Amino acid sequence: MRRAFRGLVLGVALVFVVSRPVLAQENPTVRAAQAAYDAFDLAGAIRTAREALGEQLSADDRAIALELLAFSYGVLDSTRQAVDAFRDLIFIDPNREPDVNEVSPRITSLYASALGQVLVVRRASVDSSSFISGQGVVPINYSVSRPSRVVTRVVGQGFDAVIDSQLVAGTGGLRWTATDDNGDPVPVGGYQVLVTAIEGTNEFAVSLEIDIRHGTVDTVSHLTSLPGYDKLAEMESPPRDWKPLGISVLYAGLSTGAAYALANPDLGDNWRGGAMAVSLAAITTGFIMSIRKPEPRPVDANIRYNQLLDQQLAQQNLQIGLDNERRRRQVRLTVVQVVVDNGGRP
Amino acid sequence: MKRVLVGLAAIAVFAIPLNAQSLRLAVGVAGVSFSEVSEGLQYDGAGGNAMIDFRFGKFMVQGEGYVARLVPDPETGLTEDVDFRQIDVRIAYFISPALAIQIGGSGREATPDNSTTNVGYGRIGLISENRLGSIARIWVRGAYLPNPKFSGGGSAEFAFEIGLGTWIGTSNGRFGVRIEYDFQRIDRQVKDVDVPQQMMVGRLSFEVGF
Repeated sequence: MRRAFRGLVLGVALVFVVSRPVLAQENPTVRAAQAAYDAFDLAGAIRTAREALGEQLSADDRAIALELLAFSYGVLDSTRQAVDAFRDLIFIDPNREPDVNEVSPRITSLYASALGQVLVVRRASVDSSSFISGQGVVPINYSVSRPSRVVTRVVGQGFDAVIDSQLVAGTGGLRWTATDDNGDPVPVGGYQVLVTAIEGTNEFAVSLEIDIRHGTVDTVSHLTSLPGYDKLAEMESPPRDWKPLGISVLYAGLSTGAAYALANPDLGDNWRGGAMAVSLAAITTGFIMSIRKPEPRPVDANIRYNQLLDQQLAQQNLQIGLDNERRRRQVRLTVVQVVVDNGGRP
Repeated sequence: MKRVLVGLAAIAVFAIPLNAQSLRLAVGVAGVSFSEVSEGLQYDGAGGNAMIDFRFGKFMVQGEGYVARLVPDPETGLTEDVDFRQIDVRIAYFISPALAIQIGGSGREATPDNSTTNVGYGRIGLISENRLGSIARIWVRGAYLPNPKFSGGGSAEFAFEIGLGTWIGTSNGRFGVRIEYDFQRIDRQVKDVDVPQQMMVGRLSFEVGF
């Protein structure tokens, strides 16, 4: 029976150890603790991890040692010690937590229990963003382990201001305009965003490094035409017209016919040659005017339509000009969170 | 004289067109065919003509004249040439863009004095004018010639004239050529004796418009 229980414990431990992510330990004692844990020597792992915690460790090694300690206590069902170890781990690295997909629910619950006992700000981040000053915001997100008042402060480049203060339970966040009291964009340079959670006498703060840059705002080109609206031809050639020939034949026929009809036959016909010549010239003129390519004529409706388009275009370009003038005075702010090389934590 | 001609040419080329009114000047040649009494008394000849045409709004005032030396038809047996001088005045009011009422008068005299009859008459009739596009126009006119007066006496109850003309020129109307004719018949009677006249005047002119 005792052997069977030991086998069960070792089996559970095997699941924990095999599924744990491999971490890079620099300290030899931490490496020894890791080796003992990997060899299912939980007592040895606890002892060695405690020894390591007594040494000068990097933040990562300290976190690994505490994690080994918490996992080992958890496997051995030492709840209080496991929670204590997780609590110390949370203070060192609030963002480090067991992967729920790879550890047992018991370990997860031990971690959650530890998290519920402390006040920390976790998953604090500043989203990189780029926007025109006064027209955008910098998203700042975080979560707190316990309901608390969270005060956010930005410091740097002579700028120091509390930009937000609110009661938060769980996840919180804010939108910072990155402007000063006058509405002007904050100066170029590095800044610290300090997110402090306060609960009674408990207080926990995280610091995020951000870099703010200034840039010019793109201007918009003037329009040369309205998209979707083409100008219409202001001059159009009318179709060929035989009216000039008709008129000339009518006039020539009328006059010469009348002259023939009313002429005095007793007085000869010397006049006929000249009259016929002029009539022929008139008809020829009419014929030429009819077969001549019609001259383009202005189309009033199209002219008025084009005038409307021009007015619309001028209005839009005027608006673009005013916008560009405003844009030239504007500043494009680019905010980037600086990743500090401290073991992957922001 | 040369300076005057240069000045006139400069005005013709560079003068600014007038708004709502126009002034046209034309000079050219005239061909005249004249018959009187019978077929046996016919003259034909040529000369020069001039015309001035002023329009303001719906009104038109036109004056034209010609001088021509007429030669008798060889078959008539006559040998003496005759010089004709005629002046026509027309005042017209356009009742529509293509139709005008005209009134006016004319005077024609011949030299030598006794070669043929001098005549003066009034004029009342219609003018129809149409554009044949931007560079051409055509007109026809007809008039009754009331109360003609003859140097040799007599009267005419039936007297009329019919004319046809066409103009072709530049699109701004500054320069153009006009060709026209007027046919005229006057049935003169002297003491119940028929002494009719019939005449055709053809003109070919160069025109300047302002």
